[in-house]
Amino acid sequence: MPKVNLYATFRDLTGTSQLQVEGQTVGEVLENLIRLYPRMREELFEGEALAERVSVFLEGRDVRYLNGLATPLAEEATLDLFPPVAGGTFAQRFGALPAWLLERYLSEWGGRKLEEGVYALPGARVHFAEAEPLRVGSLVVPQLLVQVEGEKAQAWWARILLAASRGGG
Amino acid sequence: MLGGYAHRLARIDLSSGRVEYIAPDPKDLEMYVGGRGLGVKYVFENGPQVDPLSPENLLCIMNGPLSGTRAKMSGRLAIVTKSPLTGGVTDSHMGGWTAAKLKWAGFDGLLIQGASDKPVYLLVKDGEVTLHDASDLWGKTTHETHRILRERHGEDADVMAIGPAGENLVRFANWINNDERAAGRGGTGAVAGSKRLKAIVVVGKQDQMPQPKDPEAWREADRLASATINDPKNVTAPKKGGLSLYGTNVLMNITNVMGALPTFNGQHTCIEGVQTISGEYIREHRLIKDNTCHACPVACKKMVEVHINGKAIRFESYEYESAWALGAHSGHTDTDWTGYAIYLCNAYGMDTIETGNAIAVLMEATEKGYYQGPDGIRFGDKEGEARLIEAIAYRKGVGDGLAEGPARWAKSIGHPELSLEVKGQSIPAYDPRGLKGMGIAYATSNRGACHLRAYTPASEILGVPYKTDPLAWEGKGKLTKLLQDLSAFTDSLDLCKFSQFAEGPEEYAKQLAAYWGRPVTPEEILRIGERIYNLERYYNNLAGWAEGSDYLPERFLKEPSDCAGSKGQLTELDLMLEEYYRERGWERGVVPPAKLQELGILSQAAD
Repeated sequence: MPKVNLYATFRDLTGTSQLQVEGQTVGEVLENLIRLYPRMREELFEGEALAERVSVFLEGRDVRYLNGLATPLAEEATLDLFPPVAGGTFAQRFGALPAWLLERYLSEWGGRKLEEGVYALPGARVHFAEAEPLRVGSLVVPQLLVQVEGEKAQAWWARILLAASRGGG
Repeated sequence: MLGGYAHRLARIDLSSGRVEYIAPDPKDLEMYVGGRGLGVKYVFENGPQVDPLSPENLLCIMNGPLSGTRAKMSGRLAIVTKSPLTGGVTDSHMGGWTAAKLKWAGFDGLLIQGASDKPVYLLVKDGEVTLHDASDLWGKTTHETHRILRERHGEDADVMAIGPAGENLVRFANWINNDERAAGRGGTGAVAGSKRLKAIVVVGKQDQMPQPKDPEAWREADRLASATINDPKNVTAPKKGGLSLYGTNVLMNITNVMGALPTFNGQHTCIEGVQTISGEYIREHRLIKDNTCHACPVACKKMVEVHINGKAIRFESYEYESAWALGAHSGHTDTDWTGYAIYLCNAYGMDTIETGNAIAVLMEATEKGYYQGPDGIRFGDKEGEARLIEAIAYRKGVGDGLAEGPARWAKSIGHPELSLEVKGQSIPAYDPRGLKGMGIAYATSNRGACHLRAYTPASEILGVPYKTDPLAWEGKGKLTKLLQDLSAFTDSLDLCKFSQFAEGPEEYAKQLAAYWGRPVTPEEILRIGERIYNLERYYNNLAGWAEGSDYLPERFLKEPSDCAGSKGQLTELDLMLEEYYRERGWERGVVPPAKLQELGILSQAAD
């Protein structure tokens, strides 16, 4: 059954940060989520369409760039749901970026630790949490979910993207 | 003066035997760093019109500012020249200890030109380069050459050599060093053969290791890099991570399941029974030892033993690309024969990837009746494959034509479509119908089809730096540019590609800053990479690879994948190219003057 991670105010609305919801597409999972938490409807939808202000990520990709609500989901799929924030919200899973290393970057950039997994930067707040590792064949790759919100979110997001750049060969 | 360098290059004219010592221009070091970048700069200055197999071609053997230091995974040596396979600039890198010892011997690089009347080898020691007669070595395999020269110059001597393939100007001949590491691609061994340069012996002691300009900053930078590579959760973690345990060949089972493994010359995208050439199987059944390179805790190298006709053969290494090319791509999954074919390619000094493609092209041509000579072979003919490897190395029968490269040979028989190539260089082990990013990476690679310019499977398979859908084309142009620029930089340091699975621009900047002795930003890292990539492209534009040169084999555009994971898929090259050119600021594959000026290339070139 697909897993759904909820962030920021969505956690307040539902009282949970993670749950499993049935459905074979993004739309079906969101509809079933609303059945459990009816107040989520006005947060997630504008009419029949996904609300512009909401960010829904499947394995780190915005579902708008996939097949939207019709995007098919595997049994083990994970959706990340982010509410809108002033100045914008940016979120993504990063591979091969350990939490301790991100914390180090944030400290070097003048960040202040507010609580476990939350840092304040000038004009932005960064949330991060370890997600399920990606398992493929004999490889296990750690994944870190990072979210940046606030007026200066875009600039800090670009900084994080640069620092997290990795490749391989 | 920037730290990390010997500040000494040897210019060797093999025609006259004269050796001249020069210091690299400090401005070049800041703009191009070393390794690949600096080598490309020198090849560019030598002119794009030179015949690759003429004495005028320049063969650069380069290390980087972190070579020979304790920087993790800093054991790579860059060989840069004009490729006889593609006609463009190429760089190929080998692991082991050669790069470190070259620095310890007092050099940032060797710039080799001219051609000797008789076979020679170079001895690099104590800041001097001397030429020695190699008549007794001519005709010998790489392995024999290593043994003889190490007996002559001591076990501490590092030897890199070409084999019979390089001597016979096989256009995809390579260099192999005594750790059996290959600078495999692009035919750099044929360039050496055309100069009658058989080997380079490097003697260097670790006490000549360059020291960082800022030792305190270095300690911190090194501690950080070590912590990322050794993080027990990371794929690079020694003895724990998948890349350490199984090496590159951890991918074989994965790409097969994804329908992203080109097999039977790309007629299919998977193969039955692939596990017997996979990293997991090799570790369990054929592994002798996990060896490593200079300053590397990962130890991805695998010494293995295979058995052919009752004879045990040991070699390094059963790499993913080699096992694919000489196994699955050639229509079989025989553990021992695939290993034997790898061993033969190493002994004769030929790129396993290009050789496997040559074999697969001949197999398809034979099966379709396009080639009807007596030495045609069919898919799965393992003994025929071994015979053909020798025939290519010694240019016998059909091997003579194939030695010109599978692209040229396929064209010569009237069926260019059989060769899965870009700019004359054949594809490696990823099918772009199942990994779309590899399509744009192959097409836009400056050295011809290649997985190491922009390793998009990091994202498409491993979720590094972020996960993308392997079957989606959107965003792959942007991803490819980022990875190309990052790799152009790390190839210039010169660090192993595996370092990128743990480190990024922040870590590289800190290490280089500590050695250089001046601040380096992550933005500067990518800027340098972008400059190198654009200079390569500019060189290729001038050498004849102009508009419309970023293509893919028709098979990937017109014949749908037939395996689960990617069934029915084609590669959307045009859409990806549009996105990629937009990101690069290029015009249909050509670097505009404004971009050259923006990156400081044009004014530098005019200096």
